Parts: sequence; structure tokens; C-alpha cells
Amino acid sequence: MALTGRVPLLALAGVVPLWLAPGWATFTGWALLVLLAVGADLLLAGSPKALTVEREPLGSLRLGSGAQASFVVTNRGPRLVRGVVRDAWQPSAGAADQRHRLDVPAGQRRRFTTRLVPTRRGDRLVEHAVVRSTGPLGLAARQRALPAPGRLRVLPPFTSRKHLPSRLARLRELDGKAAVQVRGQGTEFDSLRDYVDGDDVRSIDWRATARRQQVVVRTWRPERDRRVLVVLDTSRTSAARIGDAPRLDAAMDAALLLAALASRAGDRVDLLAADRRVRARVEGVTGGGLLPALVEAMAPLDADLVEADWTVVVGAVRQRLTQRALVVLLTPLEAAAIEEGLLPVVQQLTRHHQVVLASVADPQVAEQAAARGDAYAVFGAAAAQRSQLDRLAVTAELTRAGVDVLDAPPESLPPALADHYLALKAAGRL
Amino acid sequence: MTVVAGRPEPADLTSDGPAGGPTDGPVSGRSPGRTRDRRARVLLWGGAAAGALVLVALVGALTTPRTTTGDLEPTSASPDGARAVAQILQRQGIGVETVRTSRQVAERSSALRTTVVVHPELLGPEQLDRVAATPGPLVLVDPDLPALERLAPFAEAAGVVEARGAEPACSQPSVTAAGSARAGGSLYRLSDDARQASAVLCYPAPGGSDRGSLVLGTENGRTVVVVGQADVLRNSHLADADGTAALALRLLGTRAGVVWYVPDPAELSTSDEAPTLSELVPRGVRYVAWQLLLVAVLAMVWRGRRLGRLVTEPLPVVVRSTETQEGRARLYRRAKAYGRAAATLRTAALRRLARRLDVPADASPATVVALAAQASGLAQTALTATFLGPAPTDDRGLVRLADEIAAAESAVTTASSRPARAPSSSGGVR
Repeated sequence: MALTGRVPLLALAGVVPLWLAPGWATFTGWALLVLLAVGADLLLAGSPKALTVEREPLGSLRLGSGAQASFVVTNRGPRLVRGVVRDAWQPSAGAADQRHRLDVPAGQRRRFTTRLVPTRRGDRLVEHAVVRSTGPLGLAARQRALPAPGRLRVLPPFTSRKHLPSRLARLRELDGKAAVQVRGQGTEFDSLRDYVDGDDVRSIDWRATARRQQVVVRTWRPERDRRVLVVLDTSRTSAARIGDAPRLDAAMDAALLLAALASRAGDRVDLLAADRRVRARVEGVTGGGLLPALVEAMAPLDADLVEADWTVVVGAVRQRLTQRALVVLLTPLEAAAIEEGLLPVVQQLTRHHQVVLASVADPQVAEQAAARGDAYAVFGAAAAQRSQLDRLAVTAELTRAGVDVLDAPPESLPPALADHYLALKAAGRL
Repeated sequence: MTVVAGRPEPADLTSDGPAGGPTDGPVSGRSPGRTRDRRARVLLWGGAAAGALVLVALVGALTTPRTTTGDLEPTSASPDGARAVAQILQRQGIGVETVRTSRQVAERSSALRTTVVVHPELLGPEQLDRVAATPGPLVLVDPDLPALERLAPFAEAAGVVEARGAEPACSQPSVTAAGSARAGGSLYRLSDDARQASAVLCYPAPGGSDRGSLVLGTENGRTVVVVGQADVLRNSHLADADGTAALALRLLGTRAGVVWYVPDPAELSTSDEAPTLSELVPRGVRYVAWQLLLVAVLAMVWRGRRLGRLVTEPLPVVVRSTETQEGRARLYRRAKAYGRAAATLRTAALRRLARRLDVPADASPATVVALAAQASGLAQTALTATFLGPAPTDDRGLVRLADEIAAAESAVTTASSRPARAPSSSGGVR
């Protein structure tokens, strides 16, 4: 049950008779009148129990875009139901206007649409729609929450998409579509073709030339069909926020750019998200289906406040990889966590695979390290430089163990990782 | 702006002034002129008001009499006042204290003081009770019926006659000694049960001998005098040729002091018998207030009912990435760790310098300092003091050290011919 603003107004109107004829009789009389009117209105209001709500299925969308969530209200009761219906989405679903005017005659159905602009990644849920059915006098209403479960999957925004075209151009350069005839590490034999003016004479294949009576050159192309395994650390260190977004989101962005690039380069990309256990995995998906599969797997992931168990992670990685592969560890370069967790076991990976550690750095550290002025700021700077030194030390140890370390702020980490991948590919170290 | 005709104002003059002012002179010139004008007017009026106030206060202070007015007031010098009596008493060494409330009477009175009650008709039952509880002799001036019943039950009111001079005509020595005095006014007779008591009737009325304008009696073990003729105490009749003044002194001067009670009608109004506020307001107001309360409650119910229950939002953990670093900075500050902070700043700076100067990482600090001095042209002794000297021991020393390190670094950076590399924290580190 709920009252409307008309009830206090009606009660307020009772001031007039009370002033004209003061007395408890008038007071109680008017109160009874209000009570009767409210009761009658409640009785006459259409029952919300007679309504059913069906939600139309919602797909998924990238964070930052909007969606229309629709549902249909069917009135199976004998009376008109008029009032308000609230589409009770979670606040982060970003429903601009959850409330809709409801006016469903008996036996009919109406469709309502709520515009959603989600503010956070992950699954945004709705459990029910609340109906408030007002009586004909507009004094009182019957209210009920009707079950209407729904889910909107909000995918990572992949803001580093903008870096993809330039990196793809670099990849094509590598890929022999621009004439690459220099043989080197990381290239494999592609084809023989006729010599044209301008070709490097060193790439002439004399044996084929002798066979064909025509000058023939060899062409080379970068190695293909390598394996790339992206390991996303979802432990406590990834939960830390830089600006407003957790490190995990920046790591996902980097992973997506790398995956988009590597899949175009003909490599197989797999994803593993883990902390103490494997949280998500994408394996064996190639071509156009890869990115959707990746974002779908990443969407519900949130960093947990647990310490990463690198023994488990490395075990899972080794179990999945049989041939040599590029293993990208997306984990923050936190000195203590790395020293105790990753360093003891990282040799098991570097022995067989090319390992890159990409870490999301906090630009605030550099800012604070440069602070001067008073003792307060200098102590802060000393603390920041201490952590920088710790990171350098850990970086040196990782490098000694054969790990390439990238440490960059959120917005420059994805292109840095993509560039590193291209460099490795050009150098044939995959 | 409109300027009152015939009243040249500065604003008017500047605005219509000759050429030479800015092109928008008329507009810009008026605004300050108007505010100045208004300010002057406000000042003028304010000053006038303040002056008037001071004048009124001064006149009031000068014309306020030292004496008061009011019937039978011991400080009043007007004909109906009682200042003369009070002064005569004081000259005799009998202090006169004026009180206004019955509480003060109860406080001030004692067995050694005579309590004089003028205008007892202004007393309510509560005040009468308090007066009745006083220990010392009591003088009632022209009491009415309730006062008589409560304080002097031995006397009864017996009409009023014209004021005149009369002989005491009774056996009370203190009265007969005064002799002829002003009498008349209210008359009293002894009540039936008081005839046997020691009550005495004096200054009888001309007609019958059982009525008189002065009654002396004993009530509660103390003398109570009922004075029917208030003129006995008034300034106007004290100097009459007969023994009025003597009578007054004999009545009031029996003890060491006099408590002169001039009842304040305001005290009566605050007693329980006065009508309460709720009795004074119209009846309707009360009911309307109740009705408004009801309206308020209904409005609360209306606004308080939520449209469906709250929807829970699973919030991600909020961990700032610089948390540990800030914690460390706080520890440094609290411990005043000058040595540790300085060592960190120096080590980090030497690292950066070593990288900039392409010195191997395992080179000794002294080597790096020497090379830096060479590259920048700074004095090596100064640099050595900066980087290898004793640690600072106070805030100022630490800040100076930080500034010196920064200066040395920037000198090396600008001096080195090669373009500076990106700082370690924001760029990639291998």
C-alpha cells in the first residue's frame, strides 16, 4: 500500500470545517472521511498481482555505449491497472529514467523501454519490476514487486582500439606484403618469384634461376602460427586503482590490443585469467570470433582480494603449452608480491617460452617522486623513489631470469605491449 | 540614472563631462557616482539615526528622577508616596528595604523586622500564604477581605468613611502616645471570636464605637496591625499638625528594620490561577494544529513509501595503488627518518645519473659523481657533498639536499649533449 500526495491535501482541507466548528467530533469525522476515501480507493484499484512482466532478452554492449532494455507488462486481471512501474536495475546499469507511467486495460499488454548507459564493466542485473497501481480517486495505491529477472553484460571498452591501425600497418610491413627479402631470424621461406628491377640481388635463388632460365628471387615472410598466451592476474594487486579504474581494466585493454594484433598476424591467442585458481580461459578460438570471446570472458571478471598463487598459474600455463610460445603476464610490478610469488617459479616458464611481464604503472608515483618544497613533500618523494628503486630491483631480477619487463601508465601500456610484440616478431624470438 | 533636478551631484558632473574621458564615459562614469551617492546617503541617515539615539538616551538619563512615583512607594516623593516615612525611619536607624515579590518577602523578613504590606488587595492566595509565614510583626495597609481572612482574622471589614483627624480612643499605649492622627478611610470591626483575644480597636468611626480605622491584634504569635487609613504613611499627611507621623513611626519602628512589600501585579499573573496560553487562543487553533500534525504524518507516509525495495549494487573493492607508498611516506615523516630519506633520494638520483652518463650499474657512487661533475662542469667537491656527504638532521637540511640533488640532475641533463631519455617511471624499463 502507498499513499499519494492527495491524501495530505485532503487532510489539509479539513482545516476549514475544523475552524468553523472546532471540536473533536469534527476532527475525528474528517479523519474518518479521509480513511474511508483511502480504503475505497484501495479496494477499487486494479490488483498488481494480476500483472505479469516479461523481459526481452538483452545482449551485451561495450562500456560507454547505451542499450534499450524493454519489457512487456500483461494485465490478466478484470480491471484496468493505472499507476507507475519502476524498472529496478542496479544503479551502475545507468538507467536514466526507471519509472514509467503504467496504463494497462484489462486483458491487454504494454511495452516499456528503459534506456541504460552502464557505468561499470561486468554483469548488470535486474531482479524485479515494481508496480504501483493507483485507485480511481488517485489517493492510494497497491504496490507489488513482480519478478522480472534480466541481465546486461557490459564488456570492456577496448579504448586502445585506436592504436590498432598503425600497428597493423607495421605488421603488414613485416609481413612481406611490402617487399621483405632480407632473410633473417624470425622469417621463413615464402615463395619464389621472378626478379623485378629493384630487388636485392642477394636474394636471387641461383639454383631456381638455373632451372627456370630466368632470374628468380626468394621471398621471406615472418613466422606464422605461433602461440600467444595472455595471463591476466586478477589478484589483489590488480584491484588497486589508478585514477578511477582498477589496474585490471588497463591490463584487459592491453590484452585486447595484443590479441587483436596477434590474431591478424596469424598467431593463436589464448587467454588465462587467474589468481589462486583459474578464473576464466579462452582457448582455440581463431579469426573473427576471438575478440568477442575474449571480451565475453573478461566482462564478469573483477579483481579479488587474494594473493596470486603463481605455482598454480605457472602450472596451468605449462599444462596448456606444448610448443614454444609467447607468454604475456599482465600483472602489476609490486616488488613484494613478485619476489615472493612469481620469481621462484618464473624459470619454469622462461626455460621453454618467451615471457613478457607487462605492468600497469601509476603516473602518480613519478609525480610524487618529483615533489619538492617542504619536508612533507620531500619525505613523500623519498617514499616514491624508494618504491621506484624496489621496482627497478625486481625488474633487474626478472630480466636476469629471462623475462622482458614493460612498465607503463594505463593509457600507454597497450601500445607499448603491441610494439614489444612486433619487435619480438621482427626479431624472430617468438 | 535620473538625477533630481536642481541638485547637482558629482555623478552627474562626471558623466556629462567634456571630451577627454573614455568613449563609454557616460556609462562607466555613472555607476561609481551612483554608488558613491548612495553610500553618502546611507551614511547621512545612519549618522542622523545614531545621533538621535544618543540624544534620546542623554535626555532620558538627565530627566530620570532619582525618586520613583507610585502610591505608597517608600522611594516616591509625590504626595501619595511614602518617602518621608521611610527617611524618618532610616534616620532613626531603621533600615527600609523595598521588595516586590512574595518570595523576596519570605527571604528578607525575620523576627527582627517589621513587614509592611501596602495594597494587600494585589496579593493572590499564594502570596498571602507566603506573607502569613513570615515571623516578624506585620502591618497591613488598607487590606481587603481575602487579606483580612488570611492574615488578620480578628478583624472584619466594616465599610468606609471620609478621612479625618481623630483621637485614638483606645487602650493601646503605643497608639495613644501618638495622640490625634489622621483616621477614617476603611473601617474594621473585631470579629466575634476575636473579642476575647487581645485585639484592640482604635480611632473609632464617628457613629458607632465598634468600628475603627486601626486594629491591633495577635495572629500566629506576632503582632498584626491593620491600618485602614493609608494616609498615615503618605507624604502629604505626614506633616499634619496632629500625631500622624508619630503613629506611623510607632507602628513601623518597633523592630530594627522594615521590609516594605509593594506587591507587583505581574507576580499575580504568573501564578497558577492566571489563564494559560492554551486557554487564551481560540479553540479552533488547537484543533487545526492537531489537524496539521495529522497532515504532516500523512505527508511523511506519502513521501516515505519507497517504490520497491532497494537494489543492491555489488561494488568493486577500492584500493588506491599508491597506498603502500603513502603509508611509507607517513612512516618517514613520523619517524623523522632524515637519513633514510636522504639515502633513498641520493641512490635514486645516482641511478638516474649513471644511466644518463652510460655508466655501468655496478660503478661506485664516487665514480658516478666524478663523471657527473665532468659532464656538468659543476665543482666536484660540491657534488660529493651533495651525494656522499653526511645526512641532514632536520627538515631544512633535507629540503635543501633534495633541491641540490634536483639542481645537479638538471645540470647534468642540460649539459649532456645527447637528448635526455624518458624518466624511468613513465617509460619502459628493460
